[in-house]
Amino acid sequence: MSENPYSRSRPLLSLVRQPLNLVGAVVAIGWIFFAPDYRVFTVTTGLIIGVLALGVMVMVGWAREINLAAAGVYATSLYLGSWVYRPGPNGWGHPLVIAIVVSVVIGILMMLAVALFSVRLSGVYVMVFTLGVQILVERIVFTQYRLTGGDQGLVTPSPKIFGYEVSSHDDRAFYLFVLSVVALVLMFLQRLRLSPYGRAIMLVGADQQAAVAVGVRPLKTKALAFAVCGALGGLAGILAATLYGSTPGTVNYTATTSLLWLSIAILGGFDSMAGVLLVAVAFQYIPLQLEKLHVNYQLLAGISLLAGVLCGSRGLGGRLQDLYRRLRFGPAAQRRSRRPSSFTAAAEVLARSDGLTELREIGPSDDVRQLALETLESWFPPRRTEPVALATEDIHLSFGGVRALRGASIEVPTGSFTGLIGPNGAGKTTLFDVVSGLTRPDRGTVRIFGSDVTRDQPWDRAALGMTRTFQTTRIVKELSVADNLLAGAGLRIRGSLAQFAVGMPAPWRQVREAEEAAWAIACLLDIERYWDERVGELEFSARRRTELGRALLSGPQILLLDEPTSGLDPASSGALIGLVRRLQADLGLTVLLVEHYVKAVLDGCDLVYVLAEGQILAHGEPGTIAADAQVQERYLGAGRGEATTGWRERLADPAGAGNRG
Amino acid sequence: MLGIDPNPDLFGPAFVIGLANAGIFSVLAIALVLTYRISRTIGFVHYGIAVVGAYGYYHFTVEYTMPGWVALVVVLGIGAGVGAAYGLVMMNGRIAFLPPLTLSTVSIAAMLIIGAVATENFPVAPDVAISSSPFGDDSFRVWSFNVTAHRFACLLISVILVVFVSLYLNRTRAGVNVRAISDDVEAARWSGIRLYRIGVGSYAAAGAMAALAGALLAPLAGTDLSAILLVFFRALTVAVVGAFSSPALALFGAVVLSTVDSFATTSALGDINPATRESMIFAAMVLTAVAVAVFRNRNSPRTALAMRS
Repeated sequence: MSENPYSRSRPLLSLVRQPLNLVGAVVAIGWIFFAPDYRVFTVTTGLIIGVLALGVMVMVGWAREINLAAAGVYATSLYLGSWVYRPGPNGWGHPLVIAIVVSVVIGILMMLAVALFSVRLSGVYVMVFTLGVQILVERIVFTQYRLTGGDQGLVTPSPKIFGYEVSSHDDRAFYLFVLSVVALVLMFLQRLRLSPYGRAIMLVGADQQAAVAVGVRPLKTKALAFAVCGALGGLAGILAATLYGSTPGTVNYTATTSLLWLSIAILGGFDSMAGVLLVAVAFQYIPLQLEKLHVNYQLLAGISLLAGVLCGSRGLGGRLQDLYRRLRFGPAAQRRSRRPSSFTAAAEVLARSDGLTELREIGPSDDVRQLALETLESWFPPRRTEPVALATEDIHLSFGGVRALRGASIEVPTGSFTGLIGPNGAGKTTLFDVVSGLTRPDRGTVRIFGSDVTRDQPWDRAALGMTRTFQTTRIVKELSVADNLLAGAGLRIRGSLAQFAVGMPAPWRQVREAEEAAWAIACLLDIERYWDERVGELEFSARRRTELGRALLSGPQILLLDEPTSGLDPASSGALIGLVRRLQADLGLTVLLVEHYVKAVLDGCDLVYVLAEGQILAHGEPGTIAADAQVQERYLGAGRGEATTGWRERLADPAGAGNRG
Repeated sequence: MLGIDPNPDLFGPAFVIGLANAGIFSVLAIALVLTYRISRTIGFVHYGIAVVGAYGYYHFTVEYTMPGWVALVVVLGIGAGVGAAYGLVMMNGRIAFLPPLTLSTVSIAAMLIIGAVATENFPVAPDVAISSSPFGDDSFRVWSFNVTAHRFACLLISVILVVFVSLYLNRTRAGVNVRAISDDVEAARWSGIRLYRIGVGSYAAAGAMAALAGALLAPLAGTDLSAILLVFFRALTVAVVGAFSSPALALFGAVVLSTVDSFATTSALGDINPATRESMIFAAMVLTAVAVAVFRNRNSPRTALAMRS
C-alpha cells in the first residue's frame, strides 16, 4: 500500500502548504503600505462583513439551510456589544473581551432559538423563521433608540489590545487588528471543517439519512452550524461597532441587507473561505469605485445570487479552485491516468462469452491488501462474539392500507454473509429501514447483539456497530472521495469541539489515524487514485464503492447493504459482490445483503432469507433455497421446466406459447 | 407585564377590522400557495412583484393620472408579464431540475432584481405615497366601524381567488399537471405535460395576484417598502398555516392572524406595544408551523426523519 500523499489532517500545515495561500497572506499584509486610507478602511469593512459571511457560509453552504436573519443578528450583537463596551451613561464600560464574548453569545443564542424550532422542519421553514427573526429584530431592537442611538448614533471607544489602543482613526492599525481576527476565524473554520464536527455538518446538509446511518446526530449537528453562524455574526457585529467609532443607523441592517450578505456566501461558495472573503471585500470595494454609476445594492445582490446559483454550490471560489488545479496539475483525466490502480485486472474477465457472468474474487494485490488490513486492524473495534448479531422478531408495518411487513423475522449469525432476496415490493428495503431505525415498526422487536433497539434512533444503532448503504447512492457529490470517506469516521474519533478548535494533539492524532484507515479502505476498494477528486466526476461504480467505503470507515460490526449492485453491469456487479465477500472475511464483518442479483447471493452467501409479501417465505443455505419449490414458484421462476427453456425454443413452439397464453 | 387589559366593547369592531384587513395579505398568500404547489419553493419573487404593483399603481394613478381601475388592469398585466418571464426561467432545463432550496434562492434573486428595477423605474416622492382606491372612497357601517369599499373589495377578491385557485388545483386536469410538475419535473415532461404552458401559465397567474396585492396595498400603506415587506411576511405566515398547499386554509389563517393583529392594535386587548404584538404573531406562526408539521408527520409513515419539509 502506497503512502497517502494528500494527507490534510494537520489543518494549519495544509493551509501553509498551498502556495496561493502564502502569496495571499503576503499580499493581504503588504498592500496597505501602498494604498490610500479610504481604501484600507473599505477593505477593513469588507473583511468584517467577510467574517459574518463565513458564518453564513457554514449554515448555507455546509448545512444547506438558508439564513435570512444575518443582518438582524449582526445588528443586535453590534448594538448590545457596544453597549457592554461603552463607558458612561449609555453603556456598562466592560473590557473589550467581555463585549466580544457577550456579542458572540447573543449571536449564538439568537440562532439557537431559530434552530430549536426550525431544524426539525428544515428547508423552507428555516427561511420563513429566519425572515421572522429579522423582522422581529427590526421591530423590537431597532425601536430601542437608547440602545441604537437613533439617527445620531452613540460613540464607541477604540479597542485596546494588551493595553495598546487601536484607534479607529488609524486605518492601517485597525486593518491589521481585523486581519488578525480574520486569520483566527479562518484557523477555527479550517479546523472545524477537517474535524468530525465539520464533516458531520456537511453530510447532514447533503443527506440526512446517509448521515444518521454513520452515527451523526442530525439535530445537534444542524444546531452547531446555526450556532457557528450566530457566533461569527456576533463577532462581526462587535468588530463593526469598534471600527465605526459610533453605532451606525438601523437602516443599514434591514432584510435586504441580510439578502445581500446571503448572496456573498452563496457566490463565494461553500468550499472556499478565501472566495467568500474576496467576494465580501469586492462587495464593499466595487460600489465605491463605481460610485458615479450609482450601483443599486439590491440589484447587485440579486445578480450576485443568480451568479452564485449558476456557479453551483461550490460558488465562484470553487470555480477558481478548479481552474487553479487544472492549470497546475492538468485536466482531471490526466491527473487520474498518472496514478495507477493497486488492483489486479481480474474484473475484466468476469463476463463470459455465453452472456452469463462468473463470480470471481478480485481485489488489490496481496501486499497492498496485507498492509491495508494491518492498518485497519487498529481502526476497527474488537469483534463481538455473541452468536447472533442481528435479529428481528415478528415485525409488522403498514403504510395506510398497505401492509408492507407482516411478521417478518430474521436472525443473522455473527460473522455471516446473509442474503435477503425477494420480488419487488416484498418489503426488503422496508425491513432494512426498520432494522436501521429509519422507520419505526407498528409491532415487533429489533435486536442487535441481543439488545432491544426497537425504540433506538438510527445514530444510536450506528454507535452499537451497525451501518448501512442505500439502494440509490447517497454521497456528497461536491466533496472529494477522501472527504466522503472521512465523513463516516465520526463514531471512531473522540474529542470535543473545543479540543479540535484549539488544536489539542490527542483528537487530531485520531483524525490522522482516520485518514490512514480511509486510505487503506480506499486501496482495498480501488478508489485511492480518485482520493482528492470530486465524487460527482467519477463513474457510477466508483461512487458505489465510495459509499461502501464511508460505511466501512465507521468501523461497523454489522453492515447492511441495500442492493449494492443496482445500476451496475453484470461484470461490475459480480466484481463488487466478490469484493464485499472478501472484505467481510478479512474484516470479520457481519453482512446482511439485499440483492436482486440472485446468482451472486446464491453463490456468495452463507445463509439466505426469502421475503414475499412482507413475510419470510423460506430461509436456509443457498442450495436449500435454490431447490425450494415455493421459492421457485414465487420468486425464481414459474417452474423449473419453463425457466430452463430458452425464449427461442418457446417462440418456436406455438403450442407451448398457446398454452401459456 | 404584556399590557393585556381586555375591553369587550371593542371586540366587535376589532373583529370587523381584522376581517376587512385579511383580504390584503391573503391575496399574496394565495399567490405563494400557487407557486409552492408548482415548484415546492417559496415564491420570494412575489414580494418583488408586489413592489412593482404598489409602485406601478401609484405611478400610473398619481403621475399619469390614470383612472384607478385602468391602472389596476395595467398593473395586473405587468404582474402577469413579470410572472410569466419568471416562469420561463424557472421552467428552463438548466433551472427546473435544481433542488427546491436552490430554486428558492433563485426566487430571492429575482425578488431583489425586480424590486430594484421597480424602485428605479417608478420613482415616488415622498417615500410613503398614498394613492386613491380603484373602488372609490365609499364606506359601509358595520358594527360601529366604517368598512371602506376598498377593504370590502379586497376581501371579496380574495374569496373569489380562493374558490378559483382551489377549483383550478383540485378539479382540473391542469391542476393535476401542476402537482405532477412539482413532484418531478422530468417525469412530468416525459409524461407529455407541456411544462411551459402549464408552468408559465401558473407563474403568470401568481404574478398577477402578487401585483394585485401590491396595487391593493398602495391606497392603504402607500409605497413604503418596509410595509410591503411586513405584508409579505404576514402572507408567508398565513401560507404556513395552510402548509403552503391550501388556498382556503391560507385565507382562514389570514382571517385569524388579521383579527389577532387588529385586537392588538385597536386596544381591544389593552395597550400592547408593537414589539409585544410582533412577538406574539411570530410565536403564533412558529407554533402553527410546528403543529402543521407534526400533524402532517402523523399522517405519513413513521420515519425518524419524516419532519423534513
